[in-house]
Amino acid sequence: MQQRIGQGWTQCLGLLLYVLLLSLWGYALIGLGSEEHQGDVYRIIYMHVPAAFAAFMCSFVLFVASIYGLKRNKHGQAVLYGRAAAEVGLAFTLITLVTGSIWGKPTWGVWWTWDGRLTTTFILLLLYGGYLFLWSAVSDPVLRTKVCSILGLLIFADVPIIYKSVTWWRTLHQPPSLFQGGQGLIAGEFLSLLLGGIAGVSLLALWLIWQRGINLGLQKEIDTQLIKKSLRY
Amino acid sequence: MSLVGGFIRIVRQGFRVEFQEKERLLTPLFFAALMLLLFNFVLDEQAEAVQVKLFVAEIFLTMLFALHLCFSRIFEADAEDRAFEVLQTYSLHRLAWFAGKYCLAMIFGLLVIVPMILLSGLFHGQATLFLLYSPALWGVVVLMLAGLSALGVLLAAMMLKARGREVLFPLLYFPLAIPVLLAASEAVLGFISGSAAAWQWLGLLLGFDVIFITLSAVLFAELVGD
Repeated sequence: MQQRIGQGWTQCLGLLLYVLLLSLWGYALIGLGSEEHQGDVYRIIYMHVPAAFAAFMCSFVLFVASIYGLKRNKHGQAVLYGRAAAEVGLAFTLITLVTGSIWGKPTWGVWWTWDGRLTTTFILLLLYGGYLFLWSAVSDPVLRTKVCSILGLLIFADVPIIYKSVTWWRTLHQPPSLFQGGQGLIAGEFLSLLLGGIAGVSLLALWLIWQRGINLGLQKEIDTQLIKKSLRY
Repeated sequence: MSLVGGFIRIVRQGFRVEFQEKERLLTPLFFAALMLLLFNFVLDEQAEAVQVKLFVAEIFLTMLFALHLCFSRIFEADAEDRAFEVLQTYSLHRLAWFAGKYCLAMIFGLLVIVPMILLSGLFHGQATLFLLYSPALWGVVVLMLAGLSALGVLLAAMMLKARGREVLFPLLYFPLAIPVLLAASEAVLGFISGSAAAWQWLGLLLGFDVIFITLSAVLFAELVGD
């Protein structure tokens, strides 16, 4: 495992993703022109939308890790990746809420409103937090795998509610604005940069989950060794 | 042991335990009454139209908080005398176990909710008394309870061996319960104002109930299984 985390290519991959994203955001800030209605403030979309996508994607990773952990891997690594997904998901949900709030002030006139999508994203943040609290509250590893996997599945079940909230609740938030009826609603250059951002941030989130999962595995190995050592004396 | 036989035994055992210690049922009831008192202190005198909205908000929030007390303790007696571990080794059908506890949660929930709503209606006076005869209100309340009970039973089983479960339970129960609470309160408000959207909210509430009951039954079996 030490070899896996120490392998140079994984670090290169991470570095490459950071460079790619920084250049993309740099271009969005300097290279693109202003938007007709919102002026320059729209540029935050290149951070807000990819972060929201990554936050939602993390719940899917959590779901997959939970299913695998519950069915096949009750003593193993799967649930560690679930925890990693919850941590990364929490970070991206927080970024989504903060950037959304910054965007909301000039466009809606308020930092925060109890709009459907905002409220449910906030709920997602609380659930990721709850998952991490539950993780630390259960000490038996097999039971922890079970309860955390079950909570992971419940969180994933909440995600469609978040997505559909735009149409279910009366809202200030604009409807899904990337595509409608298979047609792109944003001009070509803006759209390709946004899709590039989504792909880049999603890959970064996956990379972070992967690295954090390995890290948690190492921590588990160290703890096991320490317990064995203390039992010998 | 058959499914029905297991279900009946779980319900019977639950009743015996709950009615042995009356404070188990009375605590949520007194807590609900206290919440109503506090709400009325804070909200004070309001216009009639606002009173109806406040009444709905008040009963649904009080329900959510009082039910949390009911649900979080649904496995408490089992945990105290290690009956939970013993039941895990029995040939008791997992679905019967869940259904029994779910049925108990519904019954005790109703025993708390019904007096609480009547009391709240009484506190608000003329402006809201007509709501107490509304089948829509009672129907939505039962549907809300159906969804929340499933979630409550599953979470209570999950938290049984967690440290600090008194804090952890509401931390997970409240955010997961919000969609049900929202759909229920919007449905009631819709029925009061005669809005067509009420039926959509009711459909949504039913959808949440189906999701929560199915998920909870399946996941409960996974949790208590080997």
